[in-house]
Amino acid sequence: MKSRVFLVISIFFVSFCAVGQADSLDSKPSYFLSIYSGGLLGKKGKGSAMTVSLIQGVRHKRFAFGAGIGYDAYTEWRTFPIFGSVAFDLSKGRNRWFIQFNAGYSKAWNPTRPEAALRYDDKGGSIFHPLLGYRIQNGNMVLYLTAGYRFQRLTSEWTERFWGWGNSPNKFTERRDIERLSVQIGFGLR
Amino acid sequence: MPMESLENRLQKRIHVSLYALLFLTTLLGLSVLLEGCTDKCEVTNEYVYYEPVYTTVEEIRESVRLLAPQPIRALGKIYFKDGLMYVNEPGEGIHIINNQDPANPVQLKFLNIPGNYDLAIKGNTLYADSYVDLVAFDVSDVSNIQEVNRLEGILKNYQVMGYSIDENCCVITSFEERKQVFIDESDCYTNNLQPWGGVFFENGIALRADMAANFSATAAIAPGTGSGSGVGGSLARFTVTGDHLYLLDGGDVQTVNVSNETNPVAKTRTNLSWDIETIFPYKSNLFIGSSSGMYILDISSPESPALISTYQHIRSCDPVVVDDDYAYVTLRSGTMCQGFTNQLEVIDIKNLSSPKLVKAYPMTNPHGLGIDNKTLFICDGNDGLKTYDATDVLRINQNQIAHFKDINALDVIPFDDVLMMIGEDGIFQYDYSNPSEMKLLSKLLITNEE
Repeated sequence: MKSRVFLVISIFFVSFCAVGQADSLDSKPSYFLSIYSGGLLGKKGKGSAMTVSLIQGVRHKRFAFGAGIGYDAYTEWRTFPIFGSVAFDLSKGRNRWFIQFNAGYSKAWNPTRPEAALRYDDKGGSIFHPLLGYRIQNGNMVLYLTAGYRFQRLTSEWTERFWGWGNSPNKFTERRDIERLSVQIGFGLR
Repeated sequence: MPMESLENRLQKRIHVSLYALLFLTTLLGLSVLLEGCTDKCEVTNEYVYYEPVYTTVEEIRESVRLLAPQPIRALGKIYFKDGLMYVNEPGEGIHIINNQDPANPVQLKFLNIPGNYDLAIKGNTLYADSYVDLVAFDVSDVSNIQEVNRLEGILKNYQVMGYSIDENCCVITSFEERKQVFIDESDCYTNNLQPWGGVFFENGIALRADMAANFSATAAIAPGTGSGSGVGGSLARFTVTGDHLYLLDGGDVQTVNVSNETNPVAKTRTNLSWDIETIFPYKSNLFIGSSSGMYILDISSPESPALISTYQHIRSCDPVVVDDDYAYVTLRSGTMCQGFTNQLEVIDIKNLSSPKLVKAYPMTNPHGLGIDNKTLFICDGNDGLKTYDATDVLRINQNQIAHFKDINALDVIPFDDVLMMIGEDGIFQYDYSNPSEMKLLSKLLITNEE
C-alpha cells in the first residue's frame, strides 16, 4: 500500500512541476468525448482484466471535468462503473501530458459462481482511478495513452438458499478490494 | 518563418527527453507495483446456531410436580377421560381441564412433566413420556396427582431433537440461540467457507438443519378404546387398548403391560419402520400411520404384535382413523412431511391382508381427523374444519355438512356429541348432536404471555 501512496503523490508532484512550465491557456470552454480501452493488469496468476469506458464533459483552460461510464471484466467479476472525472494538463501544446482522477461507484455481478446453495446479493462498491496520460491531438481528433492505478471495492452478501431453521440463515459478507495497474489507449473528440 | 534559436531547440529536446525519461521511469515503477496488484478479501461469517442446554436425568425427574393452572402457550396432544380434558403442552407437561360442561371448560391444574409429548390413560392411571422415561400418575384425585411409577429409559429412540441422548447422564432440554461472527482475511482464492446446509459444530455437538423444526413441532394425539381407557386424537403416538399400552418409539412399537395399572411392565419391542408417526387401535388391530404408508398389526396376542399388511402411499404425513370396514387417511405435504399431495384417502380394510384404496379426495392441507357415527371431521389446516357424511364412501365430497373456515384446525376428538378440536389458536369445542347445525360451545385460547 505504501508504494501505491507513493505513486499517487508522485503523480501530483509531477503535476506541480509541470504547472510551472505552462506557457499559455485555452481560452474558451469546449466539449470533449473520449473512449478508452485497455487492460487492468494484476499479479501474475491472480487475474487481469479488460476495461472500456466513455467519458464526456467540458474542457476549460487546463482543466477537464466530465462524467463517464464503463465496463470492466475481471477474472470472476463484471462491473459497470459510473464515475466523475477531473483532468489537468501538465503542459501546453497540441500534445500534452496530463493527470486524471476518476472516482465513482460500480455495480457488480459475478457470473462465474454456482447458484445452487447460496443466494447472493451483490452491492458493488467504490472505484478510485488516478492515472497519468499523454494526449496527441490532430485537429479535433485526440489520441490518449494512459497508465495508472485502479482500485475497485466490491461488497456482496451470501445467504443460505435452503435453510431449515426457524431463524435467519448463516450470512457471509465479502468485501473484496481489487487493485490493478491500468494501461489504456483512447481516442475522442477534443 | 523565423528560425528557432539553437538554445530554444535544445531546450525543447531536453524537455521531451525529460518527459520521455519520466514516462519510462513511471512505467517501470508501475510494472514493479504490479506485484502488489491483486485481490484482497475480508469475509465476515455470521453463523447462527443452537447450543444445547443439558439437564441431568435426576434434575428432570425431580422437577415433575403438580402446579396451579398455567397459561396454555402451545398445544400438543389432547386426551379425554371421565369429563376431564388432558392437554399436552409440548415439552412442558399437561394441562388438566374440567370439561363436564363443554360450554364452560375450567382449568384445574398443570402437571409439570419436562420432555412430555404424549399421553394415554387407563382407569385412574395417566401414562406420560418424560424424555426417556415413561411415568405413571395416579389421577383419581386431580387435586392431588401423584407419580406412582416410572419405567426409566424405556424410550430408547428419543429422537424429538434429531439424535439420541444418554439416558444415564443427561438430556438436552432446550436450545439457546447463539450468534457467532468470524472475520477471515484472505487473497480471495482460499475459500474457508462451509456455506451449505446449516451444519455447525460447537462443543462437540453437530446439529442438523431439521432438528429445530422437530424440536418445536406440535405433536399428536391418540385415540383409545376399551373399558378403562380414554380417547385421544388421530395424531397420537401412545394408545391404550385392553390391558396394554402401545408406544411408538422411533421406528419401534413398544408394548407395555398395564394390567396392573400402577405397575406397568415393559414387554416386547417390534420394529416397523423409521418413519412411523401415529397409532390408532381398532378391535384387535393397530393401524399405524407412517410417512410412506399405513401398517396394520394384529394384536390378538397383545404382547406380540404381528404385521398383517402394509398399505403403501406416496411420501407424506398420514394420520389414520378407522370405522368398521374403512380406514380414513389424510395425506399432507409440508417441510417435515415432504411430498406434494394433500388429500383424504378412503381404504377398504375388509380384508386386512390386502387393503385397497377406494377413493381419494383432494384437500388443502389436512392434518388430524376423527369419525363418529359416519360423521367424518377433517382438520384441513388453514382451510379450517370440514365435516362430511361418510355413509357413502364414494361420494364423501358431495356430502359436506359444514365448513368452518376461520380457524387453523390441527386435530379433533369427536366424543359423545362434543367435538374437541385443537387449532393453532387454542381449543375449540362444538356440539355436533345435529351435525348439520354444529354449534361452537367454547374456546380456550393460547396465550402469548410469558
